[in-house]
Amino acid sequence: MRCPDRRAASAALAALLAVFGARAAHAQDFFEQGKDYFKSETIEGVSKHAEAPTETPATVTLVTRDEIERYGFRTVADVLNFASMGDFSLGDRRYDLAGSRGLFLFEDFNTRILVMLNGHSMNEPWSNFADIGRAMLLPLDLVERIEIVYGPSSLLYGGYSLYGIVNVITRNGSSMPGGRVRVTGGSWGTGEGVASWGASGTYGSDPLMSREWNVLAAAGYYRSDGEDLDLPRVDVGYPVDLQGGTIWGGPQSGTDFERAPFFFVQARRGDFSLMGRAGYRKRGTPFAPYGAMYGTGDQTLRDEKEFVDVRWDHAMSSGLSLSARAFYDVYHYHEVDPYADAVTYPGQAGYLFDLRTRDHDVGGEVRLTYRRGTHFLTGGGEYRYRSLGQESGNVFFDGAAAPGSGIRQDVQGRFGVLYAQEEWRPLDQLSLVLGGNWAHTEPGSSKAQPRVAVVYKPMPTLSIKGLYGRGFRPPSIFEASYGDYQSQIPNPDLASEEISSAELSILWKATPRIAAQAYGFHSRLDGLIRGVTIESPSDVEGGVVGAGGTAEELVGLLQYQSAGDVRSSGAGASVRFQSRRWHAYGNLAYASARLSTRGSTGVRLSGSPHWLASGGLSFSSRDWTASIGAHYVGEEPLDPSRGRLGPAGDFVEANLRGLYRTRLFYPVTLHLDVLNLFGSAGTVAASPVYAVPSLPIEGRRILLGADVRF
Amino acid sequence: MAGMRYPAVLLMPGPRRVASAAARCALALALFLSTSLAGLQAASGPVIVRMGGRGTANALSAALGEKLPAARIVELTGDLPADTARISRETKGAAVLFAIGPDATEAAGEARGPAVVSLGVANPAQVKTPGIYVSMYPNLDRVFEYVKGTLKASRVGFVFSPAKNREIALQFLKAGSAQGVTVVPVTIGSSGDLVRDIKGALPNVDALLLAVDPIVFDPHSLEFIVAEARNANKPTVGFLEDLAHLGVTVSLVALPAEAAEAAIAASAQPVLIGKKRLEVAGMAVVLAKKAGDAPAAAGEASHALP
Repeated sequence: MRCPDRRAASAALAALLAVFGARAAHAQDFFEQGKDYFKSETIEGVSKHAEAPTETPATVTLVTRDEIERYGFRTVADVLNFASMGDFSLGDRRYDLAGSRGLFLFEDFNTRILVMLNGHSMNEPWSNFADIGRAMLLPLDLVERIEIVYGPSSLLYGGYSLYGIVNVITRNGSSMPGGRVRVTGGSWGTGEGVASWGASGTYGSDPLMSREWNVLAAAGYYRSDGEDLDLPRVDVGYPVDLQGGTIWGGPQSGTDFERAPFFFVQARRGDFSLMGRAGYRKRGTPFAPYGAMYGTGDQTLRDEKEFVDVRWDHAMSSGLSLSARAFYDVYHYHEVDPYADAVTYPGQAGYLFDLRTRDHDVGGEVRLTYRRGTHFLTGGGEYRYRSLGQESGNVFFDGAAAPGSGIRQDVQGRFGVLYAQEEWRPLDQLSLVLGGNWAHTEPGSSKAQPRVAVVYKPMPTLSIKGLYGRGFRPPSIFEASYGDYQSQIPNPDLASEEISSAELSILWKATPRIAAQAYGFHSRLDGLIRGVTIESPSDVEGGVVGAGGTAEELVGLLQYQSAGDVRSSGAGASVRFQSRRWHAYGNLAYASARLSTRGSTGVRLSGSPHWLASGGLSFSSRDWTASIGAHYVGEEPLDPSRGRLGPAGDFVEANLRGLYRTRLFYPVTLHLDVLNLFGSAGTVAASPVYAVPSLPIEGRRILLGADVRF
Repeated sequence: MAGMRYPAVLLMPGPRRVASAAARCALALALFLSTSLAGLQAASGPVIVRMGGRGTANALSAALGEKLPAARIVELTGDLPADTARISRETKGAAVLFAIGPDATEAAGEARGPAVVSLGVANPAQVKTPGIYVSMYPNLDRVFEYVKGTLKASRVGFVFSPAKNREIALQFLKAGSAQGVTVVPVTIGSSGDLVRDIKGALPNVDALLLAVDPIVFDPHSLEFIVAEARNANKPTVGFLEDLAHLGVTVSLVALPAEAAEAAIAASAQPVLIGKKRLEVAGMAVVLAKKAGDAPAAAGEASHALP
């Protein structure tokens, strides 16, 4: 596997070779040759080994450390919005909710996109949720690159990635040596501090064969009081304050807060490596979903994610490698929703709905890679055992538990997959990739998925890919098993969603400084799982009955069912330019997704824009870098049931960043960020759980910080 | 007529037409591949594998090509799986291949093909491929003779990052000791180390030797080292010619023609298990135009010591 650390040695070679051939080379050419630009880019998320984007059997976008630093991307959600070729994220001040190439579903909570940290899946087992903000991942200054894979590419992962994959590759002790402290502060009481320490080296007594070790540890804390909001007033017809008022909206302050500490460690010695992460994010929910009280800081979410992943990579012989890993994940979720409900509990002004989950995921994976001649075979298996617990109840404002409201449910789940992929390169111009897997999930069932890809390279710089793949998402344990019989019932017969996708993708590295990419795709998602309100006893699936033994008593409750198919198609294109001083990129994507259900045909998905565009321009001088990045979100159709209160989307958001590098004994980088530079008052479509059909994006804010390396 | 062109099994009526079309495509692909592969016959002569360089900059492969005019040059892409497959295809029948640079050397090793003679690898310890490695550095005895004789230095600092060049540093320590020159390791693991250790080392050494290391490819780091050495009135010694254009006092460089000669001579006795290191006897001395010139100053006055 090609190690990024080898780039320096490659650069050394390039410099040496150049030296003898061109004695009069300009001094800066020496350093220019150290930059690989596109040549050094590799992606691991598609085939579980490093390969060039021109070779990988998928359409991909790589966002490098240089781009993260230039444009000041702070979260993966930023990266999807400002740098991807068809992915996007709608922030509703609870979570950043990802969509891809026309596919977006309200209350989806990123359950159809596979989010990984160094190949470790971050999706939690209860509902397959993955956060792309600060709850599960890391500050992006600890990140080497972000791999965005479009379309179902879960062959070697077993499922879940209907939209695609986001794989965050962190830096390590070798690429981030020494001590480092970054502090940032600015608008809305925002403050962030991140400290890290990295070291690396080699060991062994053989002067001609070394073994590497490295370690990186980092910790940090993010806080923000959030934006003071003044939302339009709407009479929602239910009490939103303890005085019985039903007017949602008006000024509020201190409700949009966020707190997120984390700790991360990554270490490697020879064949063994270890990675661990701990941290949580607590945040207010100022838009008062689920009919909760408006303008109170009591409505909160807390996501806590810890994991440890131990791995062993060993070269058995030349061409044959074995990897084994074991992991343990913990995810805790805590939600509090205040209700001004004086009816349910007479004598009480209201109550707090309190929901907690405790999820544990333990498992392992064994993988073999075998390389012989023109063949590269990858095969292996992964198994996970999942233990889940959820408890909920109502609590009065004086802290007493509301009688009869407590619900507790404990569930176990399993997931296993066997996979194999053959990459055959019979000619320089041609690669054939054929793979398949067999996955078994509980709840859910067994599924087999194929992948077929033909990569044709008429020139070394031009890659034309024909891709076909299938993917599936098993019903989450929440969707299939949760039932409080007050608002939701389980569905033991719930089937997996399945997607098939055909795609033509072209990647052209026109010059060492310019790369262009384009794709066109068509996909079909069958058996879309959605929450359905039971309107008659015949709607109930899975033979579920109420406490009285009948289905009639379940009318009005929610049950997750396979409730439609989605056909989507579209195209996208991107271009990137890099030189020593300049960097520029542009992305444009169009996608259309239409949902067909029992009651309707070809309805456009709410919240999903047809058009997405993004671009950036950056210039660096010796000590300065100035960059501007912007993204455009096309018009987002609103839920037709919400009435015509005006469309959402159709706005441009731009960010400005300035960097100044100096030395105050130690190297210091000062950074200034102006987010939402033009104060765009754009709105994004809102889920039906909100009182209004659209929500405002975050306003302009200014952040100033310093980064010191010791 | 169609029935005469295709086997009957490919001309099924009705729904089988789809299968028929797929089968025809598969057959065509198989024929295409088989005819193409048949044309890829063994490379009986010498083979040079390298990463695609810029223009004519690849002096090592040029030097090799001059001495081995029949050699076939295989340009690699930088993608290890693809490069491995290509080397495997294009070196069938070859007894030895010359790999230029660490990526090409690694791909050559993964291909499990002919014996490898590698050039242009800064630290062979960081590449797994067994074979013969022609050192990027000149003969270390010659280096220390120059340091001791011309620079009048008896105590030198060797600047390197331990993760990249620990093994090379040990070789410098050993060679320096043999020549009566004390080599002080100046390990640079981070920006902080650079500030602390360079400042701390300069008063105690007569010169600084700069390893072929990521440190010298970072403009700010190199500028800092050169500036601090200049302030301390201590010469700096690099091992890449361009460094003399960037303010480094002198560059001691292994000549590519000699490296090619050594590689060709060594290929007569290839190494299939383990590694063997070769040094080039000749050394070019490239001086900065004027010691202490600004980094942008053009280098001049290079000469080769036989």
